[in-house]
Amino acid sequence: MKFKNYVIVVVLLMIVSCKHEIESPSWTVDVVVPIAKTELKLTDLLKDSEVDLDTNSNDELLLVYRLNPIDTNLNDLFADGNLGFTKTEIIPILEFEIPDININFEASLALIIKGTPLETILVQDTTVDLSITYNIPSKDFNMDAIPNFNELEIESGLIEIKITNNLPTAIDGLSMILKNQDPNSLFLNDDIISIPNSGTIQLNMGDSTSLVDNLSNVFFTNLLQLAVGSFSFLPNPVPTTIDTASGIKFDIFIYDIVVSRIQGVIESPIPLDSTRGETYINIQGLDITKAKIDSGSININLNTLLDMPLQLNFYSPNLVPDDTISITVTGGSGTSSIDLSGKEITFDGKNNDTINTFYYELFGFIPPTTIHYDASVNDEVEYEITVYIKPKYVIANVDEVIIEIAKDTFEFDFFKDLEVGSNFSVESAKITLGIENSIGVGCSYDLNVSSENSVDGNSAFTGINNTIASASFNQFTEIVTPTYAEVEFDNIENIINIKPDLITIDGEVTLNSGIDNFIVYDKGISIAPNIEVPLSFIASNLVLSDTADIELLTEISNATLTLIIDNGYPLNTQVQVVFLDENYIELETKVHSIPSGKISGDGRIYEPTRSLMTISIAEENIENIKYVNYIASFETSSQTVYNKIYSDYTIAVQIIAKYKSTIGE
Amino acid sequence: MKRHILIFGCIFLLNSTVYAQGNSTAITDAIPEQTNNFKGDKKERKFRFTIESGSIIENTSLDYRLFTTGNIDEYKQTISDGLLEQNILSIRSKTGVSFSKKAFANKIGFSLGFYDRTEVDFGFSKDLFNLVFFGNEMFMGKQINLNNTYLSATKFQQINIALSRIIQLSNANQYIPSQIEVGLGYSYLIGNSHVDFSTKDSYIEIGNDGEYINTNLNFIANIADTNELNLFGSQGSGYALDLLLNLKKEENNIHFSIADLGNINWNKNAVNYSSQKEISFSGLEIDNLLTINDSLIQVQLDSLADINYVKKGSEFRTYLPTTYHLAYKRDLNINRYFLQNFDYIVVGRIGKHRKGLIPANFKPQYYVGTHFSYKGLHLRTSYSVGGYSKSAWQMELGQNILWQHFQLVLGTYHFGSIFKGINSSNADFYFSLNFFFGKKV
Repeated sequence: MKFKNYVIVVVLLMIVSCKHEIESPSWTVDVVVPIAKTELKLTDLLKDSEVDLDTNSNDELLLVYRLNPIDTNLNDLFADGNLGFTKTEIIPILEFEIPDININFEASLALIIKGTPLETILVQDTTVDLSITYNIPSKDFNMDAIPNFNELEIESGLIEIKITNNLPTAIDGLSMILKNQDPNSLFLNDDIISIPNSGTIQLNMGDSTSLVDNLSNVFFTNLLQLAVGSFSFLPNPVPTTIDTASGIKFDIFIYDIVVSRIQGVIESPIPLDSTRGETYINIQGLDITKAKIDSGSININLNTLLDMPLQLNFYSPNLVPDDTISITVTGGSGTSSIDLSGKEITFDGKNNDTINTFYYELFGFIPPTTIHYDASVNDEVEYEITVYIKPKYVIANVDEVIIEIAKDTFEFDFFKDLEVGSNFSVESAKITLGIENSIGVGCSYDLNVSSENSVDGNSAFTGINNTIASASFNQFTEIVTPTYAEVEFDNIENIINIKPDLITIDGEVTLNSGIDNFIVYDKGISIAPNIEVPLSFIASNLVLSDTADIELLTEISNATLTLIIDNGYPLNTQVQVVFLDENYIELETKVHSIPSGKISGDGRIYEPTRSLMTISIAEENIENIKYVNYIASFETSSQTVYNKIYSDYTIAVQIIAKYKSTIGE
Repeated sequence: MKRHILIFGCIFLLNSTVYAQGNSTAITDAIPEQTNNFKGDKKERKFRFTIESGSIIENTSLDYRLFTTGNIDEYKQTISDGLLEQNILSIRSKTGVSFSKKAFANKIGFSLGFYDRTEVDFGFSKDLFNLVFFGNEMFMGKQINLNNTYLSATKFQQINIALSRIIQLSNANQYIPSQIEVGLGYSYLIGNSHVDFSTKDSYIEIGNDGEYINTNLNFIANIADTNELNLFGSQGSGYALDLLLNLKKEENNIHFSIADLGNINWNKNAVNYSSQKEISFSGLEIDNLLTINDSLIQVQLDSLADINYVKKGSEFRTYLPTTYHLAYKRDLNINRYFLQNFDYIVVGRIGKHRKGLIPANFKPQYYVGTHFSYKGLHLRTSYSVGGYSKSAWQMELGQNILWQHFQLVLGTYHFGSIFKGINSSNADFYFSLNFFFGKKV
């Protein structure tokens, strides 16, 4: 029993003695975590530059400096009316014909014997014979108005008068004058023609006679009169029934009338004198045979005293299509235009057998009217014809034409932010010209490329020249197929090695001679120069410096930041990083060396070199740091062999943070 | 169907019964891997009622200073040095009551018990420990092995019924045992909650200079009852079988048993998570290194936590770790002073195996033990190596009281931990209170 009790007590004491104060555990861990990464390439250094990066067939990086394209065309040759002309001329009005005039008039017995002793003898419906000769005194007989004109000045014409004796006896000694009535005595001379022009007329009863005579420069009104002189009734022993309505019938027919003036309705068109002209296109170096017109017009400006509508017809065999173009102008002054857009002009003259020549004809007329107008050969029409043409394209025979390329200067800013030590040279450089020729003629060019370093005053020069093939043109679709060419000119490293800040190009383009070449307006030759510099260079003390904003991690007070830099470039680099406050005052400075990547026997980087840069910033400075200035000094890994930079080269940079964290507190 | 056949078979098992009496109950022990199921052949009372409880925390190397002494930076290196490549922390508890009748004279013995059990296994690699307690900086240029990291935590109730019988055989042949004891047990398991997690082919790789963190994470996780966490709610059910075979020939006894051969089906609000993801992180890719700030870092760290798992509600099954026990006992009949109280010595081997994705990771345990009794005092002790700890010294004391109707048993499998205090890796305690009644058989 005692033994058992002893054992039980011991066990209980042991259990109670295990009492221990329990505290929550805490511990510290060391953490490493990558924070951020980036890859730096040359493009990052060149981001503010005009330089692009490209690769060649060997994957070597090229610096490509694209200069502004040089554009030249032949528009100047066609500018300001070189394809247009102006001409002024006067168109006279010619004599013109009018329709024949027919006048039928019968002087009745009643009118003839009125006031004579026969008035009581020859009574209507009586049968009378005349035994003696009776004398009829002179008398004027007015005719009815002739329609369609008021006045005529007849240059020439013919008048035929047929006289028929419808009297009851024969007559003798008949003569008369055809004259204008002129009731208001406006005209000096009213006589038109004497009938007959000499002697007198004898007519038996029932007989007729016709007389024809010329009219020349006579004045007609539409109111005519027959002034019949005294004549005799011859005896008629045969009793005759008297009809006092019949008498002497006059049928007057005026025909082949050429008028120099008319006042009245114009029944037939009155032609104006036509005009013809030729004008010559004179563009130096080009003999134009054909032009397709983009826009243009023929403007005709008229000035005349005629106050009636005029119609002018413009025709040119050089205009395609060669329809006659009619223009109607109301008299006085006026302008009318012929739109030439979309038409073609062949500059081959009237008979299509020459060059640079535009032939045209202009003829007009006064169209028939129903309104009375006054037209005379004394009137004339003055016209001014102005042709303006903007071509879409021209077909021409080209003589040697030289186009000057004005000097163009380009800023070359590659070296602007890069301090380049004295030991800098590139292995090679070339200029590549991308040429697009939209002219239908081959040409050659001569360019002068020069560079200038405005700081130290050095300059370098090189000349380049070559030829350019002609473009092709489909006249049906009017589509130009340009010729493209890329031409390289090597060995211009002298231009780059002076570290220029300006590059200048000028020169000239010479068109080759040729026949039937096309030149399209607004299209010409475009030359795009690119300077390519393979990144194969030797350099030491190549310095790149920049200041940037920075935002530091606020929780890195107990952390160490490490930059892991994997350098895949053949450049040894010294980096100095200076942390600045808001007033650009230096707070901390870190220096680090980044060795070049590992280079194989063929000169390529086969493995980047890793370096670690630890950044420990004092806690009191972290919040004050606002800017970081870095100065990177580069040196190629070899100072004797050119170091090529390939497209797959990069510098990878990572930020790693190491810090202690306490868990459980 | 198979389950029903098994139950009827147990009921119709004929002849003698075995009533495991003394310091521990029949077949199912107070703590499943209790090493010694052997009792003396002394007459004992027919019936027994037991109240028992025990908890154990075992691991191979972890030190409890890790959890109890505040800042552990001073100790963690020592602990790390003692870790194996693959380690396990096991926590088990069992509390319950049982009633049993001893098998004797060709009568079948039986027992009926009700227990509340908790089983937690956490397997981890040394690398994982170092990652958690030292950080990842030490792994620069190396790979952190996360393979076979797992956690299995199950809380369940067990209703156990067991039958046993002792069969007497002819003693004529010296190789044939004179007595065979067979026993069969069936348990109905009520699952309360479960969570498990296991990885496969997972690792974290850190760059030589810390420039990258690559993670390959393949895991499967199951959780039962995510909506209502109820300690005694039923979220699943299952069964377990036990088997007992004892062979006796004179003073020699061979014991073989299988315990906890079974599973639980979780079918209420069960959720399965899986992920197979590779994450490679080398920092935020930015144009300007000079503009990184805290918010950017947080975004990146948050993205690392984006595991992108697949979640689906689906039933799943978990398995109990099955214990396999083989032992040899030699009854002692020493008539010398004080040594006459030593009843037997026993040597044995215990193994565990768990089916499914989460292994038992139980190193075969070998033990040697003895039993001392003097009047009403019982002392059982054994020393073992293997299992969930490196070694264990069991000490159990039992005292019969009140005319041997009651017995109080107190014990621990890691008696040495008492002296190590917080420096120990293991801790456990168990007790049982037995009430014996009925005539002695």
